[in-house]
Amino acid sequence: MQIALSFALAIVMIPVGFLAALVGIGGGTIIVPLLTLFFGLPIKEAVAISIVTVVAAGITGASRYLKQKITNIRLGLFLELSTTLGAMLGAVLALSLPSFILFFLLAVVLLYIGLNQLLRGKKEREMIMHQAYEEISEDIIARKLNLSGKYWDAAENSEIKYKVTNTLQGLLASIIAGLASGMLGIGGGVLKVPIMNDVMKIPVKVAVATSKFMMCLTASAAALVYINEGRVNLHLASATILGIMLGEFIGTRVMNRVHADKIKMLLGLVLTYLGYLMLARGVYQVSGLKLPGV
Amino acid sequence: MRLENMAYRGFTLGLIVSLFILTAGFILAYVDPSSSLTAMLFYAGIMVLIVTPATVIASLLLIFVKNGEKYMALITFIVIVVIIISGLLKKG
Repeated sequence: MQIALSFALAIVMIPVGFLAALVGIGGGTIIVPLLTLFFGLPIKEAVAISIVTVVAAGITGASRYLKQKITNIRLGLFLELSTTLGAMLGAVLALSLPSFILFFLLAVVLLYIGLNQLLRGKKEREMIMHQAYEEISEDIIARKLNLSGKYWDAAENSEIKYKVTNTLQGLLASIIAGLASGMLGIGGGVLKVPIMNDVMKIPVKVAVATSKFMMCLTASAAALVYINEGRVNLHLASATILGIMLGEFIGTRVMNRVHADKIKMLLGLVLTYLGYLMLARGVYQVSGLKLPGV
Repeated sequence: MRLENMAYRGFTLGLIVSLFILTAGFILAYVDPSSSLTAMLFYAGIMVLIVTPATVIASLLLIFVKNGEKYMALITFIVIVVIIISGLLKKG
């Protein structure tokens, strides 16, 4: 029975890993509902498995994108500074604020960013094709820390150089991403990619790859706590890990071959879905009405 | 060694070792479902994954120090400290 369940879990995780690799998310917000709704696992067990699985997704994505030289390590570490601080603060604040307000706030933000990504896909591709990212003026922090970079865009068949700007704004926005992740237990990846892309003017593919690198750093600390407390079902977690690794492996091979506008549109769809999910959770907390996906 | 190369090697090594151990665990679980070694293999495989980022980030810190990049070294050091503290807070 356990073997059959493990096999089914591994199979289901392949498309999740594929999607997570394409848009730079950990997949936790998809994994938890999948495990609870379709496999009938208790929520606490599902969350513990999800956290360990997100680490596997992050490491696989980070490894593959580093090989393709898309990841910007310096930028990832720089933003990780505020994201982790924000997450820590968020975990403390979560105890004093009613979570339904946070769910509604995040729903509005995610729906806004999601729709924005859907509408601005074409502009991203135009910027890539016209090498507009290279013409952005680098700010002093980015210059000092050597944050700007380049990558090979396989879809456009050209080298894309980019300069990082608005580093302070990006740093502050990352605190908000961290706060949201600490308060609501969602991964920061979903907000990190739009912050890097829209605020700091970094090509969406670099944002996706860098988000993967950042995610495995943060998630591993949480996963260690869950493992040490014996809250992870090792057998099932191992199955989800193997499945998501395979999905990520395929996704990372595909991502750079897809045009940037498609990535942005896919990201927009994921963000819109997550916005709905947050809204549904908020509605559930206020009225007890259980909308699909909660 | 370049920053990206080191991080790539670190992540890939962790990934391959973990993949190997977890696969061995599943083979054993299929052959002998009652074996206690299975749980040990799963635990070891997952632990390898979890400690991999910590190892990589510590190596990145060493490279920044070696290259004399004091700002990046400081940022990396603070990130490590904050991750440790947040881990401890979650435990609390």
